[in-house]
Amino acid sequence: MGKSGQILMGICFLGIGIGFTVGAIRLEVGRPTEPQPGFFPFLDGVALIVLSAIFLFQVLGGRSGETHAFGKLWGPAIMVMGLILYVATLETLGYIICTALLAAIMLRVLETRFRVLVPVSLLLAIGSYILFDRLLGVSLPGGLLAKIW
Amino acid sequence: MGVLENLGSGFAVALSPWNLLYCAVGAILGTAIGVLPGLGPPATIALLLPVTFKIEPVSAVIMLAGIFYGAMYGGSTTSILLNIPGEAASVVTCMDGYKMARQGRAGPALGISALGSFIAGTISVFGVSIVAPSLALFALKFGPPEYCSLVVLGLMMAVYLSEESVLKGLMMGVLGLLLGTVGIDPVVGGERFTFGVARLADGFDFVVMVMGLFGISEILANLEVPEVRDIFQTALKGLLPTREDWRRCWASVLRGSLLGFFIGVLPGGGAIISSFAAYAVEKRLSKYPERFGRGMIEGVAAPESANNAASTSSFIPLLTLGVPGNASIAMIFVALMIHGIRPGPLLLQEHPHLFWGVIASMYIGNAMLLALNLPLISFWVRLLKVPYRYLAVFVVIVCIIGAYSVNNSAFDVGMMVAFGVFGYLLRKFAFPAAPFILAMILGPMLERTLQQSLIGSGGDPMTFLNRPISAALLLAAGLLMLTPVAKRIWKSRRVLQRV
Repeated sequence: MGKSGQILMGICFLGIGIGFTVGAIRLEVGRPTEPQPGFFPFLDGVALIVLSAIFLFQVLGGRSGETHAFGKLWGPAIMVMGLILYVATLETLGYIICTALLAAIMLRVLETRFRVLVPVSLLLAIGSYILFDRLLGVSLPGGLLAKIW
Repeated sequence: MGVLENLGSGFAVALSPWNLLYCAVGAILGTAIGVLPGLGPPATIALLLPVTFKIEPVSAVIMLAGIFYGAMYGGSTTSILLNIPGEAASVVTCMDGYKMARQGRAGPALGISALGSFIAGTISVFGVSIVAPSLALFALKFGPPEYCSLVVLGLMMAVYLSEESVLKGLMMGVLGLLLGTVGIDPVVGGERFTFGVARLADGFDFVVMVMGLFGISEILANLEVPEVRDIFQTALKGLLPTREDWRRCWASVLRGSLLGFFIGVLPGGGAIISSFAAYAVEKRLSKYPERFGRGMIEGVAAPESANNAASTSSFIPLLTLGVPGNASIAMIFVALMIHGIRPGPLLLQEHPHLFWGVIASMYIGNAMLLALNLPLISFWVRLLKVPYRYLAVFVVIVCIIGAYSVNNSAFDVGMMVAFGVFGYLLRKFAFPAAPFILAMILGPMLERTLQQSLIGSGGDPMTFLNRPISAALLLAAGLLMLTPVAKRIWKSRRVLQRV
């Protein structure tokens, strides 16, 4: 994963650099005496292209640099999927249901037993709702439960 | 007015009951997040930014500053008792602090850490009150080219002093500048790189971004490995260091304080580098360097003093030049901007009560931390026994609520998740996040001053070199960037000579 991951990162940076440079040209770059909206992003975009190219040359030349080993990837992967689902359903299902489900997923990933997981998830979701929504005045989405009650 | 009179007026501000309360809240919260792994100072400050909208700017900055320097105090507790640094700045404390704990000397290690931090914090606050006004006065001479060069130097320092490679730091810095251009452009006021997403018209929200990059990414990284936390069971007695400990440590505390102060002043410098530098200096000056890493009290006193001194002095570039030196200070910069206060040389003239009130609050905050932390050490130890799984879920919930509350929108939660994944990948591939954050915050200032300089000079880029201050700043930035190249050439020459 080390070298190939670094190459992938380099390509991503290069792509972002190219994307912004093209976008800056479309916005109009102007001249130093009359800089236009694309002037500054153009300079940055070109700089990122050059730096990414140097980085890719270094990695391909065997100087892959420091990386940190990946552990068990399923934990973060499940968590990210859980968070994406959370964002997608937050307004519809509401804060309490979504947060309880997310907490349950997370606690399961962190190897919590089922008989602990359910009450703790509910406690965290309801407790944080009461604390932030009711006591501190943060308006959290009520969703399904708000419609029922 | 002289420094003492100004400080007097600052104390009048800081000693008001509400400001004392905010100072205490900040210091305690800072210690808690320093003790607990999972949510560092930048993410906590970001999280509390919306809370500060409704309070006075002085109170807001006093509380946020308290979180920042309070975290430095708290970070050492986990280093000493668990061999896990609560904060990156306390990494080096693990080396001797944990060994001391295993030798039954956890009490003196925690004690010297708290006392050294207090002494260093106080020395540094005194330094800030002397240096900051003079620097602010000097910075009044700056025009757009000087500011542009200063931002370049600040970013280069952040890149150079980041732990990872300079090339990666540069890439992150430039990426930050690019993402900082998203939103309304300063030239014609049109939308730029928003892709029709109305929410992006104001650019990326810093609160959301920092919580993702520092909060969510940390949790994701910790989900990879099973929880291993071994709190060393030891009776915490004799927290006050002995006379012998003081005899060995007083010079280390002073050296650490001075070194930390000067490193903290540098844009991009900060608590992490200063603690490593102080440890290296102590080891070099010691008669028994071989004993370092085996439980030397000097190895705890110096870095802990240095990181506290640096965290205080890192307010100097923010308050006098308007250039934040690290991610936490950058969030305080954002807090000031939200309140309509522009940090920089004019801050001292336009908002003297804020400037001196914040400085005076640091004196008070340091005393509070000492008074609170020594008796509360056993409480912090008990807090550490809360299983990480509950803490992690709590951190995620708090981050979600923080992101949602910015605009009452799930879109911001999504952005936070995206930045969290991005931050996780950055950690794995060893790309530093600090230059990215600083570049995003300083990007608009760099763009504005660059354009003003070029327009003012008729498009002549030599304007940056024709003005002495600007030229000196750029020269320093250039030298910084050339240092790694020079080092590499020097190394390969030596290898060739040996062959």
